[in-house]
Amino acid sequence: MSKHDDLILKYNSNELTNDEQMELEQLIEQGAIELSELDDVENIHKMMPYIEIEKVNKSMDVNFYSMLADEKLKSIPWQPSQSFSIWWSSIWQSKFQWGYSFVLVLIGLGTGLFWQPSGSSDNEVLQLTTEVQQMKEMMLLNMLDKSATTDRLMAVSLTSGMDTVSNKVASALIDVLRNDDNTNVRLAAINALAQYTNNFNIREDLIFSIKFQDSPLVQLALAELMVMMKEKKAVKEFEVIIENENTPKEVIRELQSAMQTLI
Amino acid sequence: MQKVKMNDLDKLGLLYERYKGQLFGFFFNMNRDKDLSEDLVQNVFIRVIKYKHSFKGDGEFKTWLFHIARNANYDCYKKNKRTETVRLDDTCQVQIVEDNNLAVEKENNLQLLEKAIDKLDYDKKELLTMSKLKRMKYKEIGEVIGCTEGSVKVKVFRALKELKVVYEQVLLETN
Repeated sequence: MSKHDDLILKYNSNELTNDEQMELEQLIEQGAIELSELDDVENIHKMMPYIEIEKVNKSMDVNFYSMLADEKLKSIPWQPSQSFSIWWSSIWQSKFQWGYSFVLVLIGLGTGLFWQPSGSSDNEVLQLTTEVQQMKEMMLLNMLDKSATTDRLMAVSLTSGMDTVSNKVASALIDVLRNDDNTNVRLAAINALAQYTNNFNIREDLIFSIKFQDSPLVQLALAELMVMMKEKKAVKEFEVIIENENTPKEVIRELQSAMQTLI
Repeated sequence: MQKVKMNDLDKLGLLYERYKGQLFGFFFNMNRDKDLSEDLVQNVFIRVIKYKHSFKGDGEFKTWLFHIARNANYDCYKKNKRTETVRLDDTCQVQIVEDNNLAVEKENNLQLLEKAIDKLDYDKKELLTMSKLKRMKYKEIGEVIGCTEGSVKVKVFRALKELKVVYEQVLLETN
């Protein structure tokens, strides 16, 4: 039996002296003894990888990509024109007296140029904004397909801050408003679509969606939106709801009030 | 990472996808708090952007990333030390299930092991998290914490020994 084996055996039977303990640690440090050879350490080691780790939530991805989009916009450097800098240094180095006077006159012009953002920087910002928008839209469409309500709510909330949306996203939101099982998701879709009521097609789709609604909350939210849009075409749709015998009296009263405002 | 350093932030998405699971696992094992762990992963990548110029490229990106992760977690630990202690005491309630079913027993043992790990010193807990839960190599851990591979082995050995003692204490308290 080697000295190592003897130490391991003693360790495993809990019989090591302090000196032997130190010797064992030295051998571990040198790689002469592996931790897997020590029974108790190995047993506890074997248990550890089985500790469960919760799954990463989708919201972490959404937060990360939003942060990345913001950082991308912030990272566009704004620099003064290089030719202006070269020109400035050449003037500064000139030994002619009149040059300094000339510089003074041009400082005003130079400052103006300095503070005026260049066209290429504008284009870059525009391109990045479009890319970020496309990325957000892609994520939104993907998340709308998820079965979890929180995912769909989060997807709808991604429209906040989007000045415009593509036809694909608009259709998806309208589809949510008409067909989603969850009232909160449908309400969120109304809030999201309310940002784009200057788009004729979205207005028409919103009006057409009224007839699909059986939740009083959604009906009232749509009525409020129609009043805000001053959309008289919605009156006919609300009349159908009012005439429906299943519509609660409170809702009828609110809808009638909204219709009076519209007419 | 070199591209991220050159301000090509799109590439950070690739790094995020590659390491988010490992980082989340590290934070989750250290804190047992899902929301906090997600916030810390986000915090790490914010720091990656902020300090990207300090990545020299002469070592592994993973090592550098875990340097940042350790700091982020330690900052959070210091900040929430008092609250955290209370939280762990609250959440580490172990149910004694009078069931001989092996699966249930295993589950209970793991809960006890988790409780024992939470009772270890911060440094030992961090070391075991890196070496056993995230399966980092001793050499990688050495680069992250700044010591040799051999020293890491000894530290892990001592931490496991202490864990065994604490685990047995927890078992006794439960029975």
